[in-house]
Amino acid sequence: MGLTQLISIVIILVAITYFCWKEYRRNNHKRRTLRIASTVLSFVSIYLLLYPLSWTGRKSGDGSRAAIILTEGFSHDSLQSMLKKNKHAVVLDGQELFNAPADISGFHLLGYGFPVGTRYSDMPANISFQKTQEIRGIAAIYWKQRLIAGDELRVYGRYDNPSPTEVVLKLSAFAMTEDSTIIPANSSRDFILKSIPRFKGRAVYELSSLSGSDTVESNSVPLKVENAQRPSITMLLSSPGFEQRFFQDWLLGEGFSVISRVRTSKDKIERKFLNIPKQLQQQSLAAQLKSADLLICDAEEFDRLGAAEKQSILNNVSDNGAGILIIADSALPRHELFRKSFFLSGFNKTSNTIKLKNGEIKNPVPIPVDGSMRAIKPSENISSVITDSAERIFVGAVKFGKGNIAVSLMPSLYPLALSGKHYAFAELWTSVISSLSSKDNRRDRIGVDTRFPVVDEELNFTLISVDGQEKKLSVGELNIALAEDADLAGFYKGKYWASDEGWLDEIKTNSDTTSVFIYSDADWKNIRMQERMAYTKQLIKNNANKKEFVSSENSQRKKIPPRFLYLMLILSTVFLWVEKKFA
Amino acid sequence: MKDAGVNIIFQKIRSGWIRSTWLAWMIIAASTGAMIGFFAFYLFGFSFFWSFPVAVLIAVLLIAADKSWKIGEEDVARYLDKQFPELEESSILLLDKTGDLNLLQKIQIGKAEAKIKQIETPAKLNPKLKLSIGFLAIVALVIWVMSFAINQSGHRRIGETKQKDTPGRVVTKSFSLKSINVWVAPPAYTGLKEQLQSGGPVKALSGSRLRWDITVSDTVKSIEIVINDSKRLTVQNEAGSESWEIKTDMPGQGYYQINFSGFSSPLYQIELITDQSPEIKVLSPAPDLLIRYGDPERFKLTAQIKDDYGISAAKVSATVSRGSGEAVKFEQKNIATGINFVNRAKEYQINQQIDLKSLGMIPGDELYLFISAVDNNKQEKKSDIFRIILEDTAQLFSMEGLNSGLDIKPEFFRSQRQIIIETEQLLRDQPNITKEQFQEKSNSLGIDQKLLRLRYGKFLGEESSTYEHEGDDHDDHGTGVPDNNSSNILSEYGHSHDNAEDATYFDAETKKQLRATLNEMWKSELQLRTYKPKDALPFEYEALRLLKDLQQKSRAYVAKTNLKTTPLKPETRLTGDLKEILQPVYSIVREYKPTPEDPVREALGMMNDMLAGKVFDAQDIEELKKAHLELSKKAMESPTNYLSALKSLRAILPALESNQPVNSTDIVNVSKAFQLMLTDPSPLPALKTPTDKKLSDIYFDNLKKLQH
Repeated sequence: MGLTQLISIVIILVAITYFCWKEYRRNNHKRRTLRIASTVLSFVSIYLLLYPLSWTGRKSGDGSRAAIILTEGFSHDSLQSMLKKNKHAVVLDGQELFNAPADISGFHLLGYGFPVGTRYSDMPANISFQKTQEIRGIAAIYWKQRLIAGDELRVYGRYDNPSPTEVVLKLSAFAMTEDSTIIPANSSRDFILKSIPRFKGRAVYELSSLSGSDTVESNSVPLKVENAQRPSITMLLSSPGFEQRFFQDWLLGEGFSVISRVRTSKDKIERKFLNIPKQLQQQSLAAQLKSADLLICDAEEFDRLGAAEKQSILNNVSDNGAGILIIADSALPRHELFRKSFFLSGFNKTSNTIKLKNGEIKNPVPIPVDGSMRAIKPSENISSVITDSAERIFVGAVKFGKGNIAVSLMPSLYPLALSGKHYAFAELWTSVISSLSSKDNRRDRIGVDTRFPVVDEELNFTLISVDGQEKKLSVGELNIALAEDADLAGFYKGKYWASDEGWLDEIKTNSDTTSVFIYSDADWKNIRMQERMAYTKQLIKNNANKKEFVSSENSQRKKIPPRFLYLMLILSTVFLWVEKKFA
Repeated sequence: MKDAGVNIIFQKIRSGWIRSTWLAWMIIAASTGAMIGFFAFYLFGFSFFWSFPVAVLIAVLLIAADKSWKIGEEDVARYLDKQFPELEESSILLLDKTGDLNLLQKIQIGKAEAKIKQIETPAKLNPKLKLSIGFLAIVALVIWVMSFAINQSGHRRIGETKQKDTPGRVVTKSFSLKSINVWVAPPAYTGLKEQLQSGGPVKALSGSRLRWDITVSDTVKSIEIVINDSKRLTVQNEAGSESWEIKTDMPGQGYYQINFSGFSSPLYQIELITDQSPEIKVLSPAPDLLIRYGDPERFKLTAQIKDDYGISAAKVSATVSRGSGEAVKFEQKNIATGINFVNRAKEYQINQQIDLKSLGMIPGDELYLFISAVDNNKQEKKSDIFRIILEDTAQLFSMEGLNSGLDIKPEFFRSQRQIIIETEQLLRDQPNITKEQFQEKSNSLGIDQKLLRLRYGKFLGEESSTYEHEGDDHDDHGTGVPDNNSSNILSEYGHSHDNAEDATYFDAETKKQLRATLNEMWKSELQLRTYKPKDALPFEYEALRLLKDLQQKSRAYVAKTNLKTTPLKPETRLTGDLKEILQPVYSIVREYKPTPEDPVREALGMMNDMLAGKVFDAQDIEELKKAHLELSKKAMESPTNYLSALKSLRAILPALESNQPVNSTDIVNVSKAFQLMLTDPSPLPALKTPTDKKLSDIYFDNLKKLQH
């Protein structure tokens, strides 16, 4: 119900009340009930003429006509064939679905269907969705839109190429080709295109497919590259070592904050504060542990910690999202959390190269394996961070509250740095630290649920309110109406319709700001249309289930014929006039 | 007599008249001032502000010339009589102060007084005021039409710089470069004439003299060439000129720009050509030439000397070294090249037969020789040093060095030496013994040689005696039959671990030389077994020489170093007492310093937004300027790759500052250059941001709330 309709109802009700009250107060009490009824009827007929009442009911008469609903992407061949089968069919635009003539026996939907997010509360049940033409080209796509400087952009996808010529897929940025691959003729292949963005900020890459010199399709790949938010690291080690030395030197050079306590002898602890303010240096160990985003600790030193300190660490992990990395040479800490979560196993076979959780490493690093090396036994709770090519887990993590606890059996990486392979050294340690360290800084978060938002189509926002308070979300000067999730407190949803292509900025709430890329209509058309078809099928299915009490074959939309309403209005007003004039 | 009211009316009209006259003059003066200011602004570059004092001056002059303050009551009366006929030309009577009036006049005064009070003044606008308003309208129209016409033509005002230009501003004059000719005078040593390079880009040899002949489209008073954004060459001419000449020395690699009267040319490339040093190619002798016993004591020196602009001199320097140990003596010798360098040609050939005897060399001496050449630019180049050794057979018999403890092969040396001695003895005895004895003795020497060879073979882990095929020359393989043996193929391309040769204590170089020694021994044995001891002698000497050389190589000297250890305290040893050792605490702060690449990365991130027409704030433009600085440096180093992008960025920056649209080709140019400049960033650990976290965290939070 729109605002206009609401205002109309209020006006009609006020008018009915006022005029009925006048009729009631008249001295002449003759035909008072009839007069009041006529007053009510006249206003009700006015309202129904303005807002016709419709309902789904059983088909009356011999409604043998079909309606063909055309949506984006319908083929003219399908339409012609449908018209041959249904000679008296009415052809309607998708928007005209509800204004269809009353004698329609069934609806045939052609094209890709309704836009994702479209809500039809009163959709006819007897809709059949005709198979549309086959979608060719990029059939699936995924890439991470937000990257940290230094991360590699990986565009994963699948391409269907039924044509007799090969297709070249090209990822380009700033008019330069970054990566490309070939999809052979008459094949369907998965592909990965890679590039390390050199910019900071945002840019729009392009993924195009070329058949010979013709561009088959060209799609935008928007990307944001942000500066790394550096985690603060605390290290507790029972003995000094080269790994620790090289690791700390690297972190110091990159501007990280590190607190290190290394046992050098009995009762002798070497303490290092790298980029740590004086005030924090004076704090107790428990306080320092509480402020760390990642604790790197060997099993022996973890066992030495007091119960209160251990609890402080675990609380920091579960509540704030921090991480613990236990360096376990041969044994795990005695704490039951580790004993129950991780199991170690030895192996003798020669290993090949180290692999990262999210794919292959840029520079393969051989692992020297001897008989004493051990790995973490895989289980459903453990997510691997670093494995070897035989899928043996060297660094594995389990979720603990909002954070992670992890165990490392990784061999020393400092020989990489020594041999000048600084990139590989940085890449491996970066993977470990980034996987484990996070911090919940208690801010509201804006999310975008629509995968490929385009102009004039629904763009769905989500807002997660940390404190559960009612929030405001705005795009520029415009406030977005938010609806709280019925089951999940503090989880809001809102809609927006963008008017221009490109970056939509200034999407903000009290403590978070974000931007969204609005695609052009040609971008990722295949994927969007596939999503649209799936959505439409689901919509029709849900609608049919809701209205199963009405046979889809014998139902139709019904309305009160306007002529009855006009007649009712005239009769009631004429009666009132005559009664007033001659009574 | 008129009453006071009439007087007031007269005064009022008079003052109004004067005021309107003054106003008319002021309007005319302001219009004239505006007109003058307008033309002075666009034709001569004067500030528009000057129109104000000009207008004031004109107004003062006009008012002074008009003397409108002298308007009197009589003038007012005349004006009233003229303007209002109902006064019947009687206004003047109202001014009569004498009172000497006749009756008719008095009656007329009465009538005029009554009527004058009824009239409304001024009935009509002062004609001067009308005229001035008309003049103002005409001037306004002229200015508007002129400014519109100038705007349409796109002319630029004199002296107005591009940066100061604002949208819609009226301009009258434009400048452009008609021609740029650069005369490049190469340095005198090249012998090249002055060359003309047209269009702007300059390519010149280091040390050249540059002369720009620049013609501009209109007369200007000064012109400036800015080289690499740092060096400025300014020439002025008060009288103004269209043709300009600027001279300078070749500044080095980079770019330049020509500026005059607010006009800035595109950037032009300056490419520096460096003079190459002479190139010396020695064809003979080999780097190490050994002149053996019995060989002619001379060698041929053949060399080619080349230079890009000419050789002015070349010489062969030779040093003869004699003696050993502390008694080594060096003697410098000059060997004439036999070439006359007067022509200073680009290429010369040295062909010299050098007789070692003429240099006073005796067996055992070594000659170190190199060629040096100087080009016309006085750049000198020296060749590698070549060593010519005159073999000293006497040294081979020396026992010196055999006492060294490091010598691991002394007994073998004696044996080889003994074979030589006995071979020479056999040759001396040949006339005195029978042929059979000679042959038997020769054969027995061959057997000795074989035994010796086999004993050396053990050092290489060899059992067999076929060393002949393992020499440097592999041509002996050519049997004509393809070698299909798989083990041979494997040994050629594969890596074998169980090679007996490798199972020794010798390094590869020693083994190689040892193998060469065995080859020589084999050849010697061959000659001895075939009863040709004279022919065997050179091989025996060669084998001995190689062994001697091996002996020298096996020596190494390591200087003894002093070691001072801290005195031990026996009373605290092994007690584990660490009381006096402090708890070490280190605090290091190293701030992260942005790299020069950082602003370029930021700027590259703006390029897409720029293409989309985003308006940038001052901070963004500042980042772009930092990136511009880096791009300028790159353009100086490599103008071929980056100059075009630098031009584009220089077009982008002012456009952004004045919110003008930016050319998309410029953006693409700059983006490409930035991409080329940048390296892949190193991976860095990052804290996961809250937006990375999904529904699971909300679930966890809500679960915790329920627990509490």
